[in-house]
Amino acid sequence: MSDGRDGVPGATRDSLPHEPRWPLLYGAVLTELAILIALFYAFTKAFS
Amino acid sequence: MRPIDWVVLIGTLVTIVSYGVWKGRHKKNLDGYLLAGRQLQWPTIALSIMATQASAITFLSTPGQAYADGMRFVQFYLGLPIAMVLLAIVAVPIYHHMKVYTAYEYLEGRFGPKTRVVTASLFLAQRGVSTGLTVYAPAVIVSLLLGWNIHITNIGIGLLVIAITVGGTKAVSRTHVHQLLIALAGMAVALTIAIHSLPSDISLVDALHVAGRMGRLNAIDFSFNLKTPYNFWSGIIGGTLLMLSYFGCDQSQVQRYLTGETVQQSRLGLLINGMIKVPMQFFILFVGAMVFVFFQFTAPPLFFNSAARNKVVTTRYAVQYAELEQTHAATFEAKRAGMREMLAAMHAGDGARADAVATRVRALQTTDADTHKAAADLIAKADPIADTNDTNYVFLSFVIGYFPAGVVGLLLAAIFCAAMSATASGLNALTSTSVVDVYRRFISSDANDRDCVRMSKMLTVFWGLVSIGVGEFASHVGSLIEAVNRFGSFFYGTILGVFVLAFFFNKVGDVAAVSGAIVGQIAVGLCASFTNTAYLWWNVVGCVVGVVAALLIQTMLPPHRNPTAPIVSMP
Repeated sequence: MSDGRDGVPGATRDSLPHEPRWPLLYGAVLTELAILIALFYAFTKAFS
Repeated sequence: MRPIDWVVLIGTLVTIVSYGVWKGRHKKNLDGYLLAGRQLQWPTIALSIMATQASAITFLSTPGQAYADGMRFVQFYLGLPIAMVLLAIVAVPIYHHMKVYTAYEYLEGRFGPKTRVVTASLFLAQRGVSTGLTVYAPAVIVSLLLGWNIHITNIGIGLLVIAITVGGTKAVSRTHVHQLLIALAGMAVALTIAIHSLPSDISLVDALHVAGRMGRLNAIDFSFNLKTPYNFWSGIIGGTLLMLSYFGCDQSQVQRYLTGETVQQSRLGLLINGMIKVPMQFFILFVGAMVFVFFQFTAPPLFFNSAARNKVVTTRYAVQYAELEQTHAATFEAKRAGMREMLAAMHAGDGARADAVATRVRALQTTDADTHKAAADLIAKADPIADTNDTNYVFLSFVIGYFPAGVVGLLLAAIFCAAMSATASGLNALTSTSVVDVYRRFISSDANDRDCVRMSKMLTVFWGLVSIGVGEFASHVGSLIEAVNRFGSFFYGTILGVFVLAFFFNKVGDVAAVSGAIVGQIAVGLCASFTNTAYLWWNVVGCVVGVVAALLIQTMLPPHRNPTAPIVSMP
């Protein structure tokens, strides 16, 4: 339930009812970085 | 500035500041004042972290950087996601476990008072100067281009920030959310207008080809070169260490995630920052690349700093400057014709001809760069303290010159919001460090919460006035910003080394840590003075040399026993 304390829609005190699976989250951040580097490289090559 | 622009600008600023003042009322204890009662949730933490790093100069200067040098600056941020993951694993649980107010408070528990004093002092000196420049830098650019009084602009921004920051960390973090959203909305509008302002026969794909062929979409460069400021390797290695130091050891960022209600909330705030920051910087740089394309079909001024330009034409260099402007205009016409010829060849599927024309246009681009350099030299001769780096003026000149009524006000509001958000975090962190690491630790250790909150408010006003004062004394903004950036990078690696020792090496004590930091700092000084190594690598040198030196020095000292602060592992 949102209590609006953060001034951000959807921000709630109970927003994390369970312990997140941290290794998956860390992996997601690093995977996104790898994908971005690949996309940026493709972007660089496509228009050079 | 038209009346509707003033309405949008003043309306936005009054709303933001009123909201911050309202959110900051009724703070009676230090936890509530400095750490928002440790109640904030991850969305606010993430946006507050991003708003702290994204100052007005980010929004003014980054598009200009892409205009002048292409998008390779995005590689500066490649280490950020890696740093966020490492800090979420290592630093967040330790800081939360100790319930510290500042990062330097942790160091006393781990080493002793000497290390705390050294690191807190370095922070106060460096942040005190750089916070003043986060106010002054946009103030001088806005006032020069709009003809405003620089002193009134500088003092005005400073007072608005003090009004928000004196309400405490909760007010700062909550207003960050709105400030960042306004700033990003302004950039989205700018990108839309830049693309729609292109000639009707130039499509977005054509624009991308023009930018790419002129070297403005060079986002990734895998070549390894220690002297190149931005490439993949300096971003991944040097950038990771710089971001570890900035987000893990600089109180202006540490304070943002110490406000998290739990370790989970703080970690998620950092990780979301790690996921959003790189695409966000790419987007801001892409705006600059599109501004570059716009000025391939619409004649740009020879020099974007209009105040410096107006000054040189009143001096004995006026004739020479007029000749350079003629050369610039002729080069522009030749370039524009070349661009159209290149696109026509591409549309006709004649790749060889397109390549040949692109080579010719790039040569014209080099000629124009030489003309620009000659103009900057003339301006420097006419006015030795003029800002001869006009990169920071490109984006705002584009906004003022080509945006419709009302949107100019929105973009200025976005820039002011960014200035206030970064400055508020700086003041907030300076206050925390002054109160917790100096006042309560060494001056009045028996001060109660009420005294500390009162002192915090007074110190917020004090640091705000210092920031305004730094701006008032700064007369040569271009070189000063560079000096402060280099000054910050100069110390970050060494400070990170101290925190690495604290987190991972429990046998290292106070004396070895401080001695190692001194050796690391000397190594950075030698590197900066006697080599051409790009400044991102200084972070690697300071950290590695500092850690190795401290470990060696510790072998010659009595064992360090019984640290009261936790560490990650005990090798």
